[in-house]
Amino acid sequence: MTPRISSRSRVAITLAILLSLTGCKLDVSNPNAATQQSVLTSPAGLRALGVGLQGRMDNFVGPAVTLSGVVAGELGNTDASLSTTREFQQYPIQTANSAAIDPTNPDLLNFWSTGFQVVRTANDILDNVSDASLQAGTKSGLSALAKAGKAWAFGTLIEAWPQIPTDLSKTPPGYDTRATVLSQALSLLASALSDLSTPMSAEFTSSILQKSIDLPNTIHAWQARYSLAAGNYDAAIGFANVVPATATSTFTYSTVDQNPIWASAISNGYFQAIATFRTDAESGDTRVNRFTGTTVTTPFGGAQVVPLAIYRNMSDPYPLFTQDELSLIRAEAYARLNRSPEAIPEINRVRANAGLPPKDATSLPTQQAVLDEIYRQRRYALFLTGTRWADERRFGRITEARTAYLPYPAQETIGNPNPPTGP
Amino acid sequence: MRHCTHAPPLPATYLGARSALVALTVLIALTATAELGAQTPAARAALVVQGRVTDEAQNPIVGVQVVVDGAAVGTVSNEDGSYRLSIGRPSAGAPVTLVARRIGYRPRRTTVAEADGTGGGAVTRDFVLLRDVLELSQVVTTATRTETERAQLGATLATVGAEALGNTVTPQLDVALSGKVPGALVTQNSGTPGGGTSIRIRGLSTISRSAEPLYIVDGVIIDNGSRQLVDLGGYTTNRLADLDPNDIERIEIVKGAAAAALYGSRANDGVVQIFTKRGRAGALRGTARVAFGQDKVTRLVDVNAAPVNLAGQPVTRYDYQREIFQTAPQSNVSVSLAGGDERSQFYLSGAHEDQTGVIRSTRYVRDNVRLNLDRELASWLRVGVSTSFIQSNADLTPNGGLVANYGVLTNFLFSSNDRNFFPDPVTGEFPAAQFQANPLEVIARWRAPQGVQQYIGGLHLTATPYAGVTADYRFGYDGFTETAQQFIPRGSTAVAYPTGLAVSAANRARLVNSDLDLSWATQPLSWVKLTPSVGMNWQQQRYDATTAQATDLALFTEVVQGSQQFAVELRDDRRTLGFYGQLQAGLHNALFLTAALRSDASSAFGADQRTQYFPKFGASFDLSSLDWWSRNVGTRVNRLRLRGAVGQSGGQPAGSFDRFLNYVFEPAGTASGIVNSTREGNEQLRPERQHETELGADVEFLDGRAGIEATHYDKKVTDLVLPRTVTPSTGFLDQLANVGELRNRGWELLARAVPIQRRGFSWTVTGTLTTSDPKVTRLSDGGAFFIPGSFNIVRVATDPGDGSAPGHFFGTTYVRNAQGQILGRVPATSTTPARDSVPIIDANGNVVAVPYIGPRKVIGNPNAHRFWSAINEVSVGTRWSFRAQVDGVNGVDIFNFDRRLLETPAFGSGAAYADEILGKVPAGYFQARRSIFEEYVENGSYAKLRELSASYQLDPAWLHLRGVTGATATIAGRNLKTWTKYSGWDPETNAGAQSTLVRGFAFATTPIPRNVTFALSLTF
Repeated sequence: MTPRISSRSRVAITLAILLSLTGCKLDVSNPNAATQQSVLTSPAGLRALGVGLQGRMDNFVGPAVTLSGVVAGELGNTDASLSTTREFQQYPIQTANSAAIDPTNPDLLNFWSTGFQVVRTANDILDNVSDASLQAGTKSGLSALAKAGKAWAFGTLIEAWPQIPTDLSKTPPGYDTRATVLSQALSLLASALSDLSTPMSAEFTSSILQKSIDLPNTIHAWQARYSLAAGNYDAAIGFANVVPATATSTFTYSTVDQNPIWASAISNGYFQAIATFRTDAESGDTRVNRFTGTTVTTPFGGAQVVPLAIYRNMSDPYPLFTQDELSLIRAEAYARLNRSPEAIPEINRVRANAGLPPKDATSLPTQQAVLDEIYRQRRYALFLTGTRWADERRFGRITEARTAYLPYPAQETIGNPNPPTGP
Repeated sequence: MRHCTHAPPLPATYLGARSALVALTVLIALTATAELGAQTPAARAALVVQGRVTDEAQNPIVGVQVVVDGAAVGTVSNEDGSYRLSIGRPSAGAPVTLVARRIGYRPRRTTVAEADGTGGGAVTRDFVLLRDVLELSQVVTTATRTETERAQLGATLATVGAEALGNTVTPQLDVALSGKVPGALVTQNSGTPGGGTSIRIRGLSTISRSAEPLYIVDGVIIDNGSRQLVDLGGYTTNRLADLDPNDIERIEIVKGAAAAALYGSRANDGVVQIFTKRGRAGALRGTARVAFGQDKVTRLVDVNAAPVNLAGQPVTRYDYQREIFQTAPQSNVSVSLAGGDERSQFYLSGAHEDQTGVIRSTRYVRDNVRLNLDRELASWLRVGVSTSFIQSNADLTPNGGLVANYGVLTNFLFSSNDRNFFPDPVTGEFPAAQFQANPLEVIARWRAPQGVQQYIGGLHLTATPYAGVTADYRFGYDGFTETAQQFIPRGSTAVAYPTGLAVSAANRARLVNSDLDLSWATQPLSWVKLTPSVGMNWQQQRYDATTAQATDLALFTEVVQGSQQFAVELRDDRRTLGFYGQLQAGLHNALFLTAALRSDASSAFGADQRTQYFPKFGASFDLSSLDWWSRNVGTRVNRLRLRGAVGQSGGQPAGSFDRFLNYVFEPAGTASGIVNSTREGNEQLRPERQHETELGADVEFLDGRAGIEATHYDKKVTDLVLPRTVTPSTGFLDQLANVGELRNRGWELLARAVPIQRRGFSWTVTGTLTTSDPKVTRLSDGGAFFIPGSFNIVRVATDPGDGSAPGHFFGTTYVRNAQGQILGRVPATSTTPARDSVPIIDANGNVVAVPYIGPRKVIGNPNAHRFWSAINEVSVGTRWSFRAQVDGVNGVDIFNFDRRLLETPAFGSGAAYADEILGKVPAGYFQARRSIFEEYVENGSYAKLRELSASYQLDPAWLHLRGVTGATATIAGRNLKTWTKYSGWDPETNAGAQSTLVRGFAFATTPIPRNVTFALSLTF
C-alpha cells in the first residue's frame, strides 16, 4: 500500500481538485445584441441611435400615411387573392371600415406605438448627448435631429388622437391637450434651430444624417406646418417664407429599409386609392395619372378603388415637406387672416405644377371659395402624404372621414388610464 | 460562491476538464483491458457461487442481479434462472453477503463464509424472490446521490427497468416510456422516423417555456430542448430520441416539486434520470440483437369521389395518399459486451438503426457507441466514466408547419384531387399544383437532410474516506452539433420559391455540469438513522446556432449559393450554481422524514433576484412495520404506507438574456442604426415557482400479490413568466415579467396484481390512471392572448370553464336557437325568396340551409383530462412470454384543421365536399362552414393497442452456436389498433410538435404508423 495519507487530507485534496474544475461567473452578457448601457454611454452608440431615429421616423411614415389615409378616404382596403398566408392573417385594418374601431386592433396599436418609439429614441439621444465624447457639431446635429423628430411625431400623432402624452418620464404619462402638444412641438423645433447655431459637423452630415434630408429647412417647414395647425397664421407664413424655393427633403429608402407605404399597399396589396380621386378631379389635372392608375375594382362590394401609381418601388422616397405644401400653407394662412388676394398666387403656383390654368379673384370671389380651392388643392397636391385627415378636420369637412379621431389603444389605457373621452 | 472569484476563465477550465476526462477514459480503458482475464496480484483462489433464482412457484427469473453487497462483483441470472459467480475468497470471520435483486421483486440476501468453500468446487445458493408489486424495495438514486429505498420517500418516484423497456421494440427511448409511468403523458407528436415526443409530467407547469422535463443520463444533464433548425413543419426532435434503449438499465422519474426541489430552478417539469448498463466483475457477458420491422399507415382519410366537378363536368379523381405513404422497412442491430474483474469493469455497446419513413423519401439512420468504465483506484476511491457517441442522419420532407405551410401532406390538403400531379410522361417534369407545390414533386425533388453528432461523457468519483461518509463528484459533458439543410430546386412548383431555396443551419451545443455531494449516514441511537448531506451543482449550457439561406439559386445548385443570401447567428449562454443541504431521518424503521433546502443562482435571473431558495419536506410512515399491525390486520393487508410531501421547485425563464433591455438593428436608408427593442428589460425576472403538495398511500394485500399506489397531487405554479403589456407611449410594447399563475390537481393510481402464479404459468396485470386539469388562474393585465404561430386559434385566458385551460381553442361558432338547433339561411332562388334563421337540418335530416357564422368563443380544450394504461404480462411454460399494453387518453379535444381544408371548396379533396358537388347540401354550405371553427373541434379521446408481443426462448443448443447461452425470439406489434371517434389521420400527433401550448392541432402531421417487428437476441 502507498504511504498512508489521513482520510481528512484525502477528502480535502479531492475537494480542492474538484472545485477548481468549476467556474462560476454568473454575469453573462448578451452576445446577440447591444445592451442599453453600452449604447447610451458610447459615442458610437449615440451615432448609431441617430441613424436608428431616422429609421424609426421613416417607419412611422407607414401607419401615419396609410391608416390616416384609410380613415380620411384616400385609400380603400383591397382583398388579395386567396392564399394560405392570407387565410390566417387578420385583415390589417378591417375594423377601420366598420363603424367603431376596436381598441385592440393591432394596426391601431402600431400607429400609436411606432410614433412613440420615435419619441423614445429621440429622448435616448437628448438625455445622453451632452455627456458624450462627440464633436460639438455632431452633438448639435444629433440634438436638433432628435428634437425635430420628436416634434414631428407629436405633430403627427395629435392629428389622429384628440390628446396625447408628451412627458413620458411621468407615471402614468397622462394626456396633454392639442394646444399643449402643438406648442411643445413648436418649441422643440425652435430649440432645434438654436442648436444648429453650432453648425452640423461633417461627421454628422456625412455619416449620420441621410443625405436626402435638409435638416434646417425641414425644421422651418415643420414650424410652418404646426404653426398653421395651432392657428398661428402669421408665424406659419413667416416660417414658410424662410424655406428656399429649391429646397427638398425626403426620407431615403433601400432594399433593407423599405418604404412602408410600398410594403403595405404594393407589396402586400392591402390598399388602393379610392376611385373618386379620379372622378372628382378637375379636367386636365396631371396629378391624377401621376398618383393613380385607371383599373377600377370593387373589393368587398364596397368602395371602388384604383391602383396607386406612386410608391411602386421599395426604395421610393417620402417627402418630409414639399414646395406645394409650403405654398398651400401660405395660401391658407392668408385666407384665414382675411388676406385672400395674397392667397391666390400661392394657389396658382400649385395649380401650375399640376398643369392647371390659374384662378383669379373672379373665380375665387369669397374667402370660402378660396378655402375650398385650397382644400381641393391639398387633396391632390398632398395625396398620400398623411395630411388629408387633418385637412378634413381643419376645413370643417370631417364628415368626409370615417371618424374624427381614433380610439386609444387598449394597451395604452391599461397603464395610462382615464383617456379623454372626446376632442 | 466566494471561491469562484479566483477561478480561471471558464473556457480554460472547461477545456481542462474535458481533456482530463478524455485522459482518464484512455487510462482506465488501458488498465481495464490489460487486466481482463488476468488475475490481480492480490487475488487468491476464487470461491465460486452458483445457483438458481426462482419465484415462489419455482418459475425461473431471468435478469436478476446477483451481487456481492457493497462491491462491484456480480452477475445476472440467465433465462433458466441460473447464475454462476466467482468471488474473492472471504477472509475468516467475515462472511460475504450476496444480494439478489430485480425490479418487481423484493431483494433477498444470503451469506457465504470462507468455510463454505473448503470442500472444493462451487457453493450453491438458490434464491426464491417474492413479488414486490409496488416496487417499494426498489433502490433509487435521489438528487443527493444517496441511494434510498422507495419506501422511505415521502414523494413518489417512479422507476422503469430495462425489462419493461426491452420488449417494446421501439428504437426510441422516449416512445418506449409511453404508458409505463403514472403521471407522465408521453405523446408521439409525429410519425416521422426519429420524430419528436413530448413528456408531460403531471400536466403543464408553464406557459412560456418548454415543458419538457430535465434529463440526466448517468449524472450528465443533457439537452432537453426541441429546436427546429429549418422549418419542416412541426418536426422537431429532442436529443433523447437518439439514445439507444438497449443500453438502458433503468429510468427514474421525479415528478413534482415535492420530490424535485433539490434539482432547483430547472426542475418544474420533472426530472427523468436515466442509468445505463455497467460492467460487473465475472465472466465476459455479451448480447447481440437483430430486429427487422415494418411500418404502415393504417388510417387514411376518405377522399372526394364525386365523378364530376362543381360545374358538372366529368373529372378523374385521385387518392394521393397512396402515392405519399409507403410501407416502410426497418432494421436494428445492436451488440454489447460487459465484464471485468474485482477492480475494473466495463460495458461496451454499439447499435445501428435504420428506419425508412412512411412518407416516401424519408429515412432515419442512427449509430450509437457506448463505453462505460469503472475502476477502483483505492479501497476508498472509485472512478467511473461513461462515454457515448451518437450519430444520426435523417432524410425528411417538409410537412404541416405553423409558419411556412408547404410540404407533402400540406399540399395534398391544399389542392383538389381532380388534378393530375403525376410527372409529364415525356419531359418527366411535374405539373404545377393548384395553390402550393406539387406534393409528388416535393417527394421526388425536395431534400431536407438532418444530422446530429453527439458526445456525452460523464466522470464519476466516489470517495468513502470514513465509514458512513461518502463524497460523490460528477462531471458531465453533453456536446453535440445538429445540422439541417433544406433544398428546393430552382424551377420547382414551389409557389413561394420559384427560383429555389437552399438553407443550411447548424447548432453547436456544449452543456457542462459539475456536481459534488457529501453525505454521512449515522445511527446515533439504535432506533434513529440520520443521513445529513450537502452538495453543490454547477451547470452551464451554451448554444451557437447559425443559419445560412439563399434564394435565386443557379440551376442545379443545391447549396447556399444564390443571388439572394443571408445568414444569422444566435448564441446562448446560461449558468446555474446551486447548493443544497438535506437531512433524512429514519425512526424505528417505520417513520422516514426528509427535509431539504436548495439555493440556486442563475445568470438568467436579474442581480437582485439572483439567488432563489427551494425547500421541501417529506414523510413516509409504514404502518405495517408496527407490531400491532402484523398481529391484527397484517394477514389481510400486508402492507400499508402513508406518505406526504410538500416542496417547491423552479423554472428558469425561456431566454437566457430575457432580463436585458437590448438595442437592436434599425436601418435608415442605406445606413444602419440601432434603437431600443420594443421589449423592455426586467432585472427583477425570477424563476417560475411551483408549490406542490402530494399525499398518497401504498397498500399491498393478497400475500403481497396485489397492490395499489394512490397519489393525489396539487401543484400551483406562481410567477409564470409572461409578456406583460407596457404602456406603448413609453416606446416599449411589452416586458417579460412574473405575472401568471396556474394550478393543476389530480390523481395518479397504479394497481398491479399477480392473479396467477403457478409453476409454468404466471400472469401479471398492471393498470395506471392519471387525472389532470390544468387551469390558468392569473394572467398579466387580466388579459387573454393568442399563442403566436397558432393561426389565432390557441388562446390563454382565465375565463370560466375550459376558458382557463392553457392553450384552449377559441374560434367562431355556430348560431343556435333555444332548442340547440344550428341556424342558417336559405338563399333565394328564382322561385322562392330567401328564408332567414331556419334550422340548417330539416325534419327529414337533410341539410337545407347555409349556417350562420357566430361569434368567437371557447370551443375546445386540448389538455388530456385522463390518461391510462393497461398492461398484461403472461408467461407460459419456461419459454413463452406474452405482453399486451393498451394506452388511452380521454377528455381531450383536437382541432382538425386537416378536415377543414379537405372540405374547403377551393380545394375540396375530402369526401364530405362531394355532397355539395352532388347537390346534397345547398350551394355555399361548405364555404360558410369552413369559417365556423367550432365545426372542426373533435373529440380526440383514443385508446391504442400500443404493444402486443410474444417472446420465445430458443434452446441455445438447438442453435449450434458456440458460446451462446441464451436466445430469445420476439415478435411484437406497436400501435396495431386505434379506437377513436376522431375522423383524421391520428389523434395522437400534433402540428405544434413539442410546443408547450399548441397541442391537439391536426395540420398535415405524419400519422404514427402501425409497426410489426421481429427480433432475435442472443446472449453469450
